[in-house]
Formats: sequence, C-alpha cells, structure tokens
Amino acid sequence: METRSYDVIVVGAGGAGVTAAASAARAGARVAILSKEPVGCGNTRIAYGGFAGVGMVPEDNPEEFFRDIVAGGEGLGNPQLTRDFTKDARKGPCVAEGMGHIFRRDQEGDVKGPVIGRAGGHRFHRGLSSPAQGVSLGGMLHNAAFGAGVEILEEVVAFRLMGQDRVNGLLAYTLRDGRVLALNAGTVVLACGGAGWLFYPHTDCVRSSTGDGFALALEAGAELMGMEFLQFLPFSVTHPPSYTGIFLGEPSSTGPNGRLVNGKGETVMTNMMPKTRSQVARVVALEINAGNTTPHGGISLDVTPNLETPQGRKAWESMNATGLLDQARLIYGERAYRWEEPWDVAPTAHFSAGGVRIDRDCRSTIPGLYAAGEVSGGVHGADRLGGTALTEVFLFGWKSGKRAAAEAASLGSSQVDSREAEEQASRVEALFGRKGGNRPIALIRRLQKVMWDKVGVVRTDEGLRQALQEFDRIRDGAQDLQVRSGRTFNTEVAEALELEMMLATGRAMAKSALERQESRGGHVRLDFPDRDDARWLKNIFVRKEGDKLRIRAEAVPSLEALS
Amino acid sequence: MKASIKVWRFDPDNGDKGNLIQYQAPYQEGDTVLQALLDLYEQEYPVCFRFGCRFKKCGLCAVEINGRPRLACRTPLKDGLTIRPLRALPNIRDLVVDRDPAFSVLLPYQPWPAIGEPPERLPRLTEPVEHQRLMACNECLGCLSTCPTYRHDDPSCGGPFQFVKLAQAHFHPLDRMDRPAQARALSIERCGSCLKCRCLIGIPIVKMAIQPLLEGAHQP
Repeated sequence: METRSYDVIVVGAGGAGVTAAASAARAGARVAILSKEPVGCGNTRIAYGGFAGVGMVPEDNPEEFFRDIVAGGEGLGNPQLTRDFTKDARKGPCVAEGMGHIFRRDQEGDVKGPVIGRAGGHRFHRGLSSPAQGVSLGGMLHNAAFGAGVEILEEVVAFRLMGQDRVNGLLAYTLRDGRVLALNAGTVVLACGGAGWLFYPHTDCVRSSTGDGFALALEAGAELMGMEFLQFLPFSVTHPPSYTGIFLGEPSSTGPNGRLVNGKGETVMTNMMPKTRSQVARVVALEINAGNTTPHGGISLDVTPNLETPQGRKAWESMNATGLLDQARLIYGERAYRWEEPWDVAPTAHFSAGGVRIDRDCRSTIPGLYAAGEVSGGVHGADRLGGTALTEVFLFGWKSGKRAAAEAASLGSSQVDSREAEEQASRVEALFGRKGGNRPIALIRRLQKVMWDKVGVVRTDEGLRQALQEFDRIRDGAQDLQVRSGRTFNTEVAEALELEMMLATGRAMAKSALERQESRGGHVRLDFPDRDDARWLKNIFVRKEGDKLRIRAEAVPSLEALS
Repeated sequence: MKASIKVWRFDPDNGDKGNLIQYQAPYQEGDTVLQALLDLYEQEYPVCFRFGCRFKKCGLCAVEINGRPRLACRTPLKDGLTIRPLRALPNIRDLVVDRDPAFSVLLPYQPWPAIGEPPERLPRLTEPVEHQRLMACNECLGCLSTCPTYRHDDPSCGGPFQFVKLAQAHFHPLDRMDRPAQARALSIERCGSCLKCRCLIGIPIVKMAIQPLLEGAHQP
C-alpha cells in the first residue's frame, strides 16, 4: 500500500480546509489537503456569500454580537467559543482578503454604509458581501490552495482516521485510480463541512456534504455535540424536481411586507425580516406537516405586498443588486423575480449547527485531531445567524491550521498501524465487483428519504425510533452490496464508503434528537412543542463506546465558570 | 414520459474506445439534463459524471450537449440530446474529464496574490469591475471547448480559462506581476481576431480578459 507522511493533513478543501492548510503551511508544516471534489467546490463556493463582521456601525461591538448569537442560538452555544468568535469576528474578513479575496466596497473604497447587509436575527448591520457571491470565494480558495505550497489530493475519500490514543494519520480512497492510500500525520484537521446531503433533495448543500467528518470523529473516539441541530432555511424551491431544495432566501429577504400564506389562503406569518431562520422555518414546516400546502407541497411566500410600499420596493432593489433574486428568476420566472407573484417555498437543509466538540484551539477531545468550520460544533448553539458560517470558516480555519502545525512540530514522526491499514484496504478491495443485491446509491436514497421524513424539520419520538430501525435495515442491506468493478473513477466504491459514514452521522443526529425532549432552534418536536429552559438548557454530547453511541446531556457552562 | 438521449460511455478499464449509448431517461416537466443523468445513475446504469450544487455555482457538471459546452444543471432535458464530455480535456471515464491540465499549465505563473498574515484591517481599495465580473468564473472549464486552438498538452498554449485566471490576477489591485507578459508566454497573440470563445455563464471573456491582456493595459 502506498504510504505518505505529512506534518498536518487537512480533510476537506472548502473555506475551512483551504484556510487551515494555508495557515499550517505558512507556519512551516508539510501539509496535505484532501478533497472529495476538486478544490474549492464546497459549500463556501455555493454560498450566497454573506459574511458577518462586527462593529461596522457605531452602536455595534463584539458584546452586542455575542448577545445576538446567544439569542439566535437559543442559549446553547459554548459561551467561550462564542465569545472568542465575536471578539475576533472583525478579523474573519481580513483572513479572507489576506488570501486574495475582495469584499464589496463603497464608492470611497471602504467596507461600510450601504454595502453592509443585515440578515435575520442580527440587530445591527454586519453582513459583508462579494459581487460574485460565494463563487468568488471558491475561485480564491482554489488559487490559495495552489499558492500555499501544500500537496493537493483531489477526488479522494478519507474514510478512516488511524491511531489508538491519538490520531496519527488516515486512510483514503482515490477515485481516480481506485487505490487506498495510508497517510501518516502528526495532526489531522477535519474541515469537511456538514451533513446537508443526508436530506437530498431537500438541501441547498453540495453533493459532497455527506457528514463524513462527524462519522470519522466518532469512529476515532471523539465527542460530538448538538447533533440534533440542523438548520433548515425556510425558503427553497419546491418545483420542478430538478431544483427541489435550492436556496431562495432567508427571513431578511422577504421584504418588510412579505407574508406567509398557507394552502388554505390563511396568513400565518408577517414581519419576518428580523426573525431567525429557525423561527420562520418552523412555521413553514408545521403548516406543511399539517397538510396546509400548495399543490406543489410547499406554502406560499407572498412577496407581492412589498411592491405597494416604498420600503418594500427598496428591499427589492437592494436584493436585486446583490443577486439574491437570481434563483427565483431562473427557476420561477420573471414575474416571481419582480415580486409580482408569490413564491412556492419549503424548508431546506442548510447547515449543521452541531458537530465535533472543540476547545478554544480547535482541538477535539481526541489528541491529534482538530476541527474547524461547519464540521465543528459549539459556536452557535441551536440555530445560526446568517453570515456567521463564512466568518467562522476563515477564522477557525486559520487558527486550527496554526495550532495543528505547532503541535505537529513538537512531535516525532507518526506511523499508522500497517496491519490495521492492510485490513481496511482489503475491506475496500472486496467491494470492487461485489455481486450482492443492493447498489450503494439505492441505500443512500433510502437513507435520505428517512432522514427527511423522520429526522427532518419536524420530529417525533415515534418517527425518530422508526428512523433508527430503518438505519439498521440499511446497514444490513449494506452487508450485501452490488458494486461495479473497474479502478477508474469507481464512484460506487466511494458511495459504499460514504454510506457507512452517512449512517453513522444519521444515527448520531437521530439519537441526539430523540434525547432532546423539547423544541428549540432547528430542532422541532411535535410531541414536545415548547422550549423548556428548566430541563433543557443543556448540550447533548454523543460519543462512540464499543459499538454503541453513548449520549449524555450536560448544562451549558456559564462564561464565569469557564474563565 | 421518457426522453431519448445519447450518452457517451467510455470505460478505460475494459480497453474500450468509447461510444454513444442511447437511453430512455424518465422525463418530468422542468427536468434538467443533470436530473436525467442522476435518474439514469439510480436506474442501474452507473454512468460517471461530476456534479455538486445543482444550480450553476460549482461548475462541476459541464459537459457537451449537442456539440456545445453546457452546464448540465442549467440545460433543459429534451428528446434527442447527445451528451459528451468536454472535448478540450482528456476523457477519464464516461462524462468525466481530467481537469488537471487546465490548472497545471498555470502553476508556473502563480496567478494569485501571495498569501500573507491577515491584514489588521480591510484596506481602502477599489475593485475594478473587470475583477468583479471575472471572479464569477465557476471554473467549469466549458470555455476551453469553445476555443479552436487550445491544446491541453501544450504548455505554451493557454485557452480562455487560463486567460481568465491571469486576468483575475491582472485586475486584482494588489497584484504586481506582469500578467500580459505571462499571457504572451501562453500564446495569447493567436487570439487576435478570433472571437469564438464563450463563457457558459456569460462572463465577457474577450472584453474583460483577452483584450486587456493583449493590450497589456496595466491595472489602475
């Protein structure tokens, strides 16, 4: 088996991954960056591109930002991480520009005033933007990966972290030629995003966001937190099926006079602009769940009243200027784009608010393993404010790379266990040309269906248990796979490996959701419809012990206790 | 309903030379070519193709449809379509091409600003409109298939994609390298009167990348 050695391996090559790799390389480490897709093609690239800074208006400061995140996350973020985040948020855009990005400027060339937007849940204007949205971040990231002097391993699937008491490398499958690589590393940074694709087609995330990082961390013994909190955006495309789940907007993009109308013609929500994503998504989801839908299975976002007021028309102008109406125009047509007719909308899986538990230096609970960006948990809590994910990606990406490089420099050489590596490699080898009854893609589609139906926007005890049973059946089905042979670009072998990771992640999400007997943020339980601060001002942690997932709840630490 | 489409199949592991195979793809109103490929993939023809975001941003699903490069996610499915890989790049398997040559030819020229420590604050600067437009490039590489002279195996021959990348750097306010000279090293002079290149998402490549590099106009 081919073996290579590095100081730092970064898994994932979107915003967090490239930033971590660049900063680790700058700190002098020999770095490899692994990507399932071509570099820079993660969710950062396809984001609308809102990027939260702080202190762009005189009344705003890190303390105010901290309060907004705590309110938006409904009290479940780790206060220390949130504090670090808000204190440093000003630097997030600086990291991106240091790598070559340029944010939108005003006429004088400054980032202030009218170029700053405001997403739902923010009390002040904090949103930087980019003329070409996330695509320009993606292009910059691709350049930066080349410019950083790191080894780029594209179209490889990291499927197992190695090491007993500490992570000392990983195994990866190469799509290009169907091999397993053993990669030694002093430290590993997980920066491979969230689990949006577990809900396909009801997601606006890229195909590669199959929750690999959560599964890798669990298998390595690390602890995850807040896995029950998946953020659903309230507004995505309902039809045609090719575009189901594609992003249409968030609360701030409804205009001051937008209203939600259910399938019976009843107005169920107005004044959405200041609300959080989860507050609005919940209303949409409950109406759909109750069957009050439009013929396309969504509900109606009536943006037309905006045209009757000057503020409403101004909201259209500013959204149009930043390209926020592109999707509506291209999918729903000119009249929808001009707000002359209502939009058919449904929630869509957007962001994993929970993830790998990290400390202030991005270290997981397992030595040698770091996490940054969406794959990590703790900064946000039960929901996330618009624009904060990109800031987190660059801020924590940069920090994690630096720290991982420093730790790796203090270590001797690492070597993955060759016997275990060979065992794993022969397990992958056995997949090629296997003639069982189930294609991986069929099992993946089953998993995605049960995730959306039972672990999606509205949940119940019964449904979550049914999901866990279905996961068992899918796991059993995966014992009998049908996989094509051939080395070159064997996507079915990759999918078989992804399926294992999707199952582990789905299970962690469903178990955490079952544990939390209340509704809060992105987690809505029909059987526990209210937020219950007396019982549930707690974080839920999940960790693997033997073959079992161990769940525990712990009170959210207070800032005083932490400092 | 079904749509009859032809899809390029090529399996290098079988010593195969590749050919077009006709399929009946399920069809619903509003379907895209990408949806047809996904449907075929699920229905027991493991045809290989890349995709990511399903809505024109990741650039991964560029293929040739009836002889012209298109994003599969933005092309309506119709009866009689022929779907092939991008001709400008080496075919790896089915619709998947080798993207590496498009980037490796650029590496000696480092078309990016050097990565430094993050600045303390965002500098006052003006982003030229050309930079704003050029940074919308989703790196789908489809433009290379519209260039009559690009050759992926000739390191002295750039194509529209490479010139877009050089022009991105050229118009970056902090870039200090002589990008027009680099473009000449990639034989941009042959673009002179050829206006055939097209961007799949509408970036004016000739006006914003090729002409400025040809004329050697220095950025403001």
